Amino acid sequence: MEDTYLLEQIRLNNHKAFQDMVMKYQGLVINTCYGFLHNKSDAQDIAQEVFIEVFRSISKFRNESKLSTWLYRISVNKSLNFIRDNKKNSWFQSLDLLFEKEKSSKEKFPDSENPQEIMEKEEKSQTVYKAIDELPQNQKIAFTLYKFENLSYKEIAEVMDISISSIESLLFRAKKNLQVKLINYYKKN
Amino acid sequence: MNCGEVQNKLIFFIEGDLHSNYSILIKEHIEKCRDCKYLLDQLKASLEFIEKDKQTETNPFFVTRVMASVNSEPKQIPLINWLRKKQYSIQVSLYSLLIVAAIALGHYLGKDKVTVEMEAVLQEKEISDNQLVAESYQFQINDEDVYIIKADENGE
Repeated sequence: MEDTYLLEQIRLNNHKAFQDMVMKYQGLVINTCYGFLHNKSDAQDIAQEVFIEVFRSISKFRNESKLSTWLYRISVNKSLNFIRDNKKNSWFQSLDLLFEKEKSSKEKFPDSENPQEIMEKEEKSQTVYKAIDELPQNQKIAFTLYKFENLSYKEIAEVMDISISSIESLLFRAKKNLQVKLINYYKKN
Repeated sequence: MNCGEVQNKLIFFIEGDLHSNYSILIKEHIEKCRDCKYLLDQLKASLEFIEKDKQTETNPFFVTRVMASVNSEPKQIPLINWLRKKQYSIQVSLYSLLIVAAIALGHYLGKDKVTVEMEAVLQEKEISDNQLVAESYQFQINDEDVYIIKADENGE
């Protein structure tokens, strides 16, 4: 179904049209949120909030950009807000995470039966994601959209509302920073 | 090309961002250098991990969850929307007001208590002064009585 028709129907409070839109774009939204949060259940919770926000503010969407661009923007903002709020409460969550760590590793790598293999994969994921999380915010947004959603420079520029040359520069610096962090880690280990 | 130069370009080599001349030079170096080959393999594995970790599977319950939340959403009222938007500023204002109110209340109660105590002391003092006046007046009356009785006895 065409996005313009879907939006028209959603504006008329057609819940079936909204359901079709959720089905069509759930992958995009969940994967984008996951790119920032690196946790399946958090990504799904935030994705749910994204769709609720879309439903609430559909009247404000003026078709000036593509629906997917708007969804990317909301997903990025919601994910970054979630990270910011979580940082504030990190003292309270550290204990929960400690107990959930083992469980989540098994859920994350269901194909790996060997505990050694699970540990290695977990370490690898933590190293890569830690390096991405430590990037400056704009570099992180550009890199995550580029890597997780395979967006073109033009599409990332539209989502971030900056020029294509700025995106090129952001991605160059993001890759460079990531390389330094990862190579330092590999050399130490 | 030395190891430093190669290691500075590894990620761009993997991503295919380099000019073909550079790529050939890096390939040649890596065939000879075990350290750079190790770093290249590790970096490649990390980037491949991101590719594998993407969330491409759709969750059949996700749509149901979203629809349930949307259906349970109350009808939007402009005032509620405005309150939602301004919730942080409203929270800050309310907390500030509460603090000011608490200080004012404390000041008022504290002052009131002192005033009440002072009034009680003053009242007590006034009563005792009145009592003293009354007692001295009583003495005066008694003296006059004695004088009158004595005069009667003397037939005056």
